[in-house]
Amino acid sequence: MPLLSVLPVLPVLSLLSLPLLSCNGKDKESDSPSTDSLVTDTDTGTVIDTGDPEDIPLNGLCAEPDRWGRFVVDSNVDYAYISGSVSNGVVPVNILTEVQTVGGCTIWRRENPFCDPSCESDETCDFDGTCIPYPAAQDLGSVTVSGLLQNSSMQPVPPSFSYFDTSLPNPPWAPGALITLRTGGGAFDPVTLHGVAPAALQPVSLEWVITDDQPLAVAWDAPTAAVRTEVNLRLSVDQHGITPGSISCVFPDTGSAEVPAEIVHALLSLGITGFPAGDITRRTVDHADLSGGGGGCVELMATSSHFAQVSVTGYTPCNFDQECPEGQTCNEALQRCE
Amino acid sequence: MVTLLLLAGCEVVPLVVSKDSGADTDKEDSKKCCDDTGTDDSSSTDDSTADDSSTTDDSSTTDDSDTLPGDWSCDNLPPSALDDTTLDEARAYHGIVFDGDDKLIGWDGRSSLIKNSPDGTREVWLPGFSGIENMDRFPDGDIVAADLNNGRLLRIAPDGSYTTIASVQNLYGAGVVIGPDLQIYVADGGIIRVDPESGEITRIFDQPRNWTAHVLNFNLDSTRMYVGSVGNGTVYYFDLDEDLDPIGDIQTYATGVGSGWHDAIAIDVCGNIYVPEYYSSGFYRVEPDGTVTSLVDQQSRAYGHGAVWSPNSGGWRDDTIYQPQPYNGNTVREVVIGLQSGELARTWNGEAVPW
Repeated sequence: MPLLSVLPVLPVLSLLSLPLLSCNGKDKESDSPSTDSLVTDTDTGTVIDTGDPEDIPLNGLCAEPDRWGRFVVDSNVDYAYISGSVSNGVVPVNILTEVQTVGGCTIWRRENPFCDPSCESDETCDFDGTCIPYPAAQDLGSVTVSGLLQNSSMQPVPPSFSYFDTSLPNPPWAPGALITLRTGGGAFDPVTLHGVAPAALQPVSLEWVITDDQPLAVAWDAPTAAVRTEVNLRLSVDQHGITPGSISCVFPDTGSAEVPAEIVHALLSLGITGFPAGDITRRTVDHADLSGGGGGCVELMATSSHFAQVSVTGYTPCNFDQECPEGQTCNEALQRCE
Repeated sequence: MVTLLLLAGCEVVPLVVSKDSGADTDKEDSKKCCDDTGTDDSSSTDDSTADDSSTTDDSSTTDDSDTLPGDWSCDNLPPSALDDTTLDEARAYHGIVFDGDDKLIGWDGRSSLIKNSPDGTREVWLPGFSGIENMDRFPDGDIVAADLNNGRLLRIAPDGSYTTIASVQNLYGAGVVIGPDLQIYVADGGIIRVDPESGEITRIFDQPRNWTAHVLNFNLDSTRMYVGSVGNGTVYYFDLDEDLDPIGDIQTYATGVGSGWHDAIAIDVCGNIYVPEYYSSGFYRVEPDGTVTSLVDQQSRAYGHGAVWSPNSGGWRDDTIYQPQPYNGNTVREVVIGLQSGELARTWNGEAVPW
């Protein structure tokens, strides 16, 4: 099928729309944090955790089909915030397909389920072509986050039952601090999640150049001591829906890493169009299974993130000839100089 | 209260419009102006553009000279954009909407809806979104937003609470417009109408075989819907009945509006439409006679992935279209058009549309 023939039916996708992914999810049952270290500040209602950030269990990501919700505490160059919500299911389109994994890096593909006739407005389309109820947002009661420079106690904002706090200082934490998120109950039994405050990520460069069949080396400030954090790199060479795959890598937080050449080649082989983009995040990830409400899993990410400027060697994005190097013209259909 | 200069198809008419509630009367005045010139409101053409032989009345210019850089009128259109700058401190990705407090709201490409002020400051408004595309604002201040990654339309209240209006298959995210009937019109390859209260979806236009309906807007008297496409650089239209249902087949309105991927349609008080087109990184004005004019320098990184007129207060220019720049750090492009938004002159079934 000619590439162009699929353009009209592809929704616009953004690299940044991809959920952060890794393969290190653990069974919460074996690493369930003890609640012995939790005490409640009677003045604010915030749950304080006296546990040790060096060995507090961090259970990684939920399995995708079970990820009913996520909380994020993020610090970036612009601002810091907490946000989160939990539903009673997963929107199928958010379950990505693993295409290839090498060296901590995975190419993920977003599928587009199709239902005919279209689903009702309160339904969503599943991969088998059937319509299912759209997952409904759930009330978790009061949610507290401690371990920050300014602890937070959030009430859900109905009917979306979203939780957010944009009043945090930036950075919102002292690096290495134990962060504890505690839900108040509501639709599920109370859940405790942990994070360890990441030091502000300092990439050596945020200008990444991708070359086919070559690894992409990235570097950042190496921690001076053992840390609980990992580094997540995400990369896409498509911004207009033509290329269906994106890369997500999870590296140890050692100061440097490589996206394997095999993965770079595989991604570029899917097609190079539009405008490349990427980001890099230092983070900890914890998850807990939800109980009392029919299943599911919820995550907590504590992140320090940056956007990167990405280019592809030999590939100049363009929309007309004048943007191309001398001797090349713009292939408008593929948006690249040739 | 702000002073406006309304070019409603006849003379340049000074109007005083209250931001909150005064628009009804004022728009009726502008309508009366057109009626007086003999324009037929029931026409399927852009009536407000008809017989525009007036010249600019210097005595009617706004009291804020900064807002009108030239004496432009419906028959004296600027040859190109009067100014084209990037607001480096503002953040928006694929959609922009202005709130009731004169803040430009855009998704930052990261996680949050940001409120941007004309003085260059910005603040996080609402975090927790993985991808918000086009937006539009209801008269009550709520915002409809295309949550592309979850395939749904959200209604976001000023307090940050939100509800799912409807799940939409093939939600492209670019074509989401609140109509004069306060229904939501969505380009999903074809065109659907979504009831914001019940979520009921009604298809009013099927996807054609050889192109995709990607964006849309209404003409000034709501007798026509313009449809921008993915596929061939053509802007189409169909006429509408009094219930905003299509009449007859879709027709070609203008060809050569870029190469083939339209990302918005905005309309000015003269009935000209403005279309950003991705493949050419262009931004085009299409006059009612089909004349297509490229308005800005075409640079891929600077491409403006949308088109929203500024409000009439709060320090934003009222003769200017704002565009998100997803390939330029999610900043905002400010393109001075020289004319005001057609939303100020919109009518439906002969009545002013007060939003």
